[in-house]
Amino acid sequence: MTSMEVYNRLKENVLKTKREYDEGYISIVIQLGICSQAAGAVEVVKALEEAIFHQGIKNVVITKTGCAGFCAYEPVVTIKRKGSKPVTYCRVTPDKARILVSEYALKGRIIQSWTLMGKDVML
Amino acid sequence: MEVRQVDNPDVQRQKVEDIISAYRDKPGALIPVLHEIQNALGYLPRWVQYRVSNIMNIPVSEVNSIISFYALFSEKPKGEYAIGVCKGTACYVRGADKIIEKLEEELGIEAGDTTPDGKFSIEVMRCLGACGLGPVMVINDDIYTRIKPDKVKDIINAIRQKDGSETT
Amino acid sequence: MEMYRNHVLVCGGGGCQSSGCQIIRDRLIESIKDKGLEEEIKVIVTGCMGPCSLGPMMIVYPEGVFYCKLIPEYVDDIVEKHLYQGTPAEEYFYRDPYTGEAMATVHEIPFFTRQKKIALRNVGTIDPLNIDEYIAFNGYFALGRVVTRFTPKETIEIIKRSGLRGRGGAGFPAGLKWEFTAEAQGTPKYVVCNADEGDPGAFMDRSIIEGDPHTLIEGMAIAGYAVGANQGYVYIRAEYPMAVKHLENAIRQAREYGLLGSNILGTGFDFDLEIRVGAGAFVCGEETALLASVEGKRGEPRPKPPFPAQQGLWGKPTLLSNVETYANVPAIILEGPEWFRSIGTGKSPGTKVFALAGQVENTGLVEVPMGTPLGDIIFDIGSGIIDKKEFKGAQTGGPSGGCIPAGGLNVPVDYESLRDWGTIMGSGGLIVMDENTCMVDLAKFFLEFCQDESCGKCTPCRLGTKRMLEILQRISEGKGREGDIEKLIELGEDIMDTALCGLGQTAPNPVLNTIRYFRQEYEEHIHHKYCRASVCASLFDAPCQNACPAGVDVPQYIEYIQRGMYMEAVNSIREMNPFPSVCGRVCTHPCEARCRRAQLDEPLAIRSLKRFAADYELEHADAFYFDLEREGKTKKGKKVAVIGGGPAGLTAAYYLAIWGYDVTIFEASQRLGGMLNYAIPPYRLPNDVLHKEIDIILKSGVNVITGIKVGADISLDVIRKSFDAVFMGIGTQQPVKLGVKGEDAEGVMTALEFLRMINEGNMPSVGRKVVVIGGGSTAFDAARSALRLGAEEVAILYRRSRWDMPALPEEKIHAAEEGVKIYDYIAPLEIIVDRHGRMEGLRCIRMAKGEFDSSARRRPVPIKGSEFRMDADTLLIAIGAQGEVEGFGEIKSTRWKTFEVNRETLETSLKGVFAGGDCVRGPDTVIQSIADGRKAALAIDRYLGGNRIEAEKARRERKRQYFATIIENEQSRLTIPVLEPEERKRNFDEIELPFDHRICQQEAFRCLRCDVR
Repeated sequence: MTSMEVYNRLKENVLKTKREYDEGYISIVIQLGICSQAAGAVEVVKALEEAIFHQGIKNVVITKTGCAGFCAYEPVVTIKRKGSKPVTYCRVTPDKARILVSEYALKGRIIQSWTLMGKDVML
Repeated sequence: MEVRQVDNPDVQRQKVEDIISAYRDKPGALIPVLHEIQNALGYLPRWVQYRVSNIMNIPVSEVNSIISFYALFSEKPKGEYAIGVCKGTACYVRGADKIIEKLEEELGIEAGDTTPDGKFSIEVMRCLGACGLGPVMVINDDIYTRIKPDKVKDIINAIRQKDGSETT
Repeated sequence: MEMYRNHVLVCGGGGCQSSGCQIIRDRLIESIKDKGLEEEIKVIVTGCMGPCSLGPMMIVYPEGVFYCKLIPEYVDDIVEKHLYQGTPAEEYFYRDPYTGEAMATVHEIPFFTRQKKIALRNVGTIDPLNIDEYIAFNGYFALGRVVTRFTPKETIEIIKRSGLRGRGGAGFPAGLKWEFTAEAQGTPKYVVCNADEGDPGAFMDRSIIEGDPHTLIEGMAIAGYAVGANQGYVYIRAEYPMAVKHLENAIRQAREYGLLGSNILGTGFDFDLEIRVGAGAFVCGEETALLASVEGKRGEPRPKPPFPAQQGLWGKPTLLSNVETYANVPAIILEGPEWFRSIGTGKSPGTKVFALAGQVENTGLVEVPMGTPLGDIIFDIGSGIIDKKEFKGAQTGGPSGGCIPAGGLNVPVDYESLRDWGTIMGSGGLIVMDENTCMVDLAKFFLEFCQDESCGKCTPCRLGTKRMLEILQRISEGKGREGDIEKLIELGEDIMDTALCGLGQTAPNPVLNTIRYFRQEYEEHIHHKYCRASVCASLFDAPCQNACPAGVDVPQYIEYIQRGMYMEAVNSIREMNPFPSVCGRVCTHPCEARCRRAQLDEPLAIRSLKRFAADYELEHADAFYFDLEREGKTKKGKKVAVIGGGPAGLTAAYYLAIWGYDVTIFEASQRLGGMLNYAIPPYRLPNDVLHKEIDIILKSGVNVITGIKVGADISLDVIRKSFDAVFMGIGTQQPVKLGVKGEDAEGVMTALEFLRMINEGNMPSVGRKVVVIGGGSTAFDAARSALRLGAEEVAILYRRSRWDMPALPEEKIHAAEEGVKIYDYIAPLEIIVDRHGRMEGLRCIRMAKGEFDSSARRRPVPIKGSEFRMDADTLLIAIGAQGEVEGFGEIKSTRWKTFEVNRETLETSLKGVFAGGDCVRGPDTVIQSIADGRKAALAIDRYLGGNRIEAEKARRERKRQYFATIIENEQSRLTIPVLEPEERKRNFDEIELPFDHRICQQEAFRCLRCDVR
């Protein structure tokens, strides 16, 4: 990069793309640190990708991030969708992942008992 | 760590030469070279040490002293199913010791050894950093988390069964 | 699974049920129907959600909005606003008791809210493999600003002003280190990152590199610019293959974007990075060893000075910091040093990442402001100990650190405070340990680790740690000797003074620290060959037996039950405990808490198995003959007086009698049994069961004199003159009072008086609304008895959290099922009395969580202005009892009104007078009293010239073998059959029901026989 102007232009572009994504896409964020992998996150990603492909869904993207530190509840999947609060699901299995795609992405429903909140309040 | 055991001696030799020559001119490259060779061969036999010494112009005694200093370098081949049990504090507090005990009992070898048929080896590993999910055990590339001592037998039996059906 | 738009959870637990949740629920369902939302909203009635004092309550998912203290009118409004229109109704939110702020969603649970993310700001949010994502979150802007706007000197100044300290260990100020490196003579200079996270139990560096590798690159590049280095190295552990991969990828992308390499952002500044993968040597976390390893040599440390800032990599000035330190740098540049200083404490600004692991509910990575109390991290963020077990300690600083005991939970976590507690911050591993961790074993573990990782260069570290390890080894094998502890301290201090590098100097830390805080455990190992955590295998046969205060050989009697030999099982129990029927019903069963079967599925129902065998014996009592060996066929001709006919006294009398002594019990009341007789209501322990058991004990040939109170009717001196030894088991008879106004009003009574009347068949009258104060078994017994006497409403008030109540979980469940309400965090202030002198209510105050006390429970503190009135006409006080220790001549007592005794022999300050049970311990469990009774019997035997202790030692060597196949598949434990709440809550019939012998045997075969080796 040759100067700060180039950096700023690049950043503008990046942000624009990001905004477009946020508008049009539902984003499924999965944490994929090594410990998440140990807890089976790779299989979950596979299941998510398969489900998106098989169901011919176009407006869902999967983002793989590092670990958010909530190790006890890995694998953790967060579904973000414009206009509503992100919902975080924990201890997701491939089976749950497939349902999450079809139920959330297609029908916009939430399965409360799989969420992080569902766990915490029910002492 | 990936273990790719290449059996053909000529292929092995060529691989070793390639790795060494790629690093020849970099400062402090001995450790990266040994890493790559071990990744390719699974261990660091004597002849490798001589080749490294020869090409990189480092005394063989120094190569050997590096290998013996660092716990990850091994002069012995590991089992086909290399079992590693994390003995970091978190795993220890959650009973890693009992896992090792059960493995030893089940396989009839001590930690650090390989079964006579070369199938299994047990290794006590340093912290793998999956402390939130302890106790943790690794078999080749598969990570097992939150293992209970009484499950060890099932895990080993499952591998034995899979292994048996693959060879027959 | 059916899908609904919203789920509404309504509490149906004990507390809420009576505070009117039935009405709320009906109204909710009706209201949802009115709006035609049945298809979309699902109403779920749950068990108790915890904060019952807020009931009735409901939670609406997926948002997790929490509504509390509902009345029917609110419900319609909430349905209209939240469920129909979709906007949560803020006016009904739960408000934080401290701040009064509305807490809307459960997103705001402490695990997240108590954190402050700086180093981890992007981790878990961005895609680490895509540099654009990092840039979208302002990535590399800090680097850009530094290289285009600041001089290297100004950059260093910013870091200095921020007060950032090294996050890897001792907390050296980062700015100073930068300055030293910048000013050092010699070129080229290097920037090195220590990512050799060797502390087993810390994994924040891995997480940062895996989840946000660019932040490390940016931080190092800024550092490079500031100190004048053009080359950096990241030394990373080989155990982290994914981190290596992500960092490699990030370096490549940064180069492609021109953010690494030559002429960065057109400023002429060159900087590049290379990765060096470690090869498994803990000592390489030490800076000089790490640099040697980067050079491709053996990772051995060298003496300092010169420090790496002067002579580091290849002898050149080198800046060396760890990952977390570098990760803070971009944030400081972006937000400014003043912002950074505003977080954390004055001396330790900013945050610290901790890897929370071990026996804590929410394991994970947490970043908190420096100075956050340790207890908040463990109990708020971490949600406490798994299974609500007892907190024992928290290890910080890994093998170089130390273990902080319960007394240190209020410690604000920063560099200085941790040092005061004899430990260090280290890289941030925080391992939580519960009662199942043995401190001797833990010290041994860390020392083994250091011994293993010692590079061997210097003698103190190589040999000194070995000597220490040998001593620990023998202590844990039961071969510890007098003076071993002192030897460990001496060796440890020597090593600290003389070892070459940080590894050696800190290696003895865990040992010295555990001796400092847990010396008693070391002493138990050495003197009593006892490992309370059931870890040191040579010191016990089975964890259940080890956990039993009386040392009952659990696996042995379980084997007899497996064989169907119930009488033998009972006899086996009776060798250590003459109360199998009683303990089969009311024991607190510490054995079950340690049962190894829990690791597979659930602990064995040991108490119930005991009860089964004991019931079998009682049923066949007519045919009952002792077949215990009776040494006492030839009487020893010595007389022992036992004062007090409770569990401790009866136990002592029983064993002394069968060993051939002439024993007389003096009991002040008319009946034997003590608290078993007077304090435990018949629905838990039927009177006939107790008295049949006592009859069996008396068959051993004990004389009983009731109705004589020693110390009042007859003096202890007289007794001492006519007996050769005396055992005092007088218990704690005096209930503790509240000490508030109105305590002498009609309708106010202590729970002990109340229960005593019930047990004497003289049923007290209760009013309509009964309040019980306290949280122990007695409080629950009183509450449930009041219900059985016809009270309409019964509530238990407790000043701490319900989790801190000492009563057993099953008691709490049974009480809630019967309709007893439990309110926690409430304390009474005053009893309101009407003009006839009758109680008509209670003025109370709400309590908040205060600091931790030495029992790892939060001390409750009153919330100002939260006083409220509660109507009630009966008050039962169950906050403890004290002994009557006066009137016994010269026996020394403590200020807690208990007798002072020699811990080994239970002998009091008067020769030949022994004491045990509650009058020594304060109110404690039945099994403890039984254990004391037996222990005293042994001591008395020895005092009178017997050799029972030797005989007992021989008995320990029992041959152990499997009788039959153990059930190895997962199988849940037997469900103890109980009467339905409706059937039981209006009478005093025993609530636990007998069960079939087939079920009993099936349960017995779940025993893993840990004793067979």
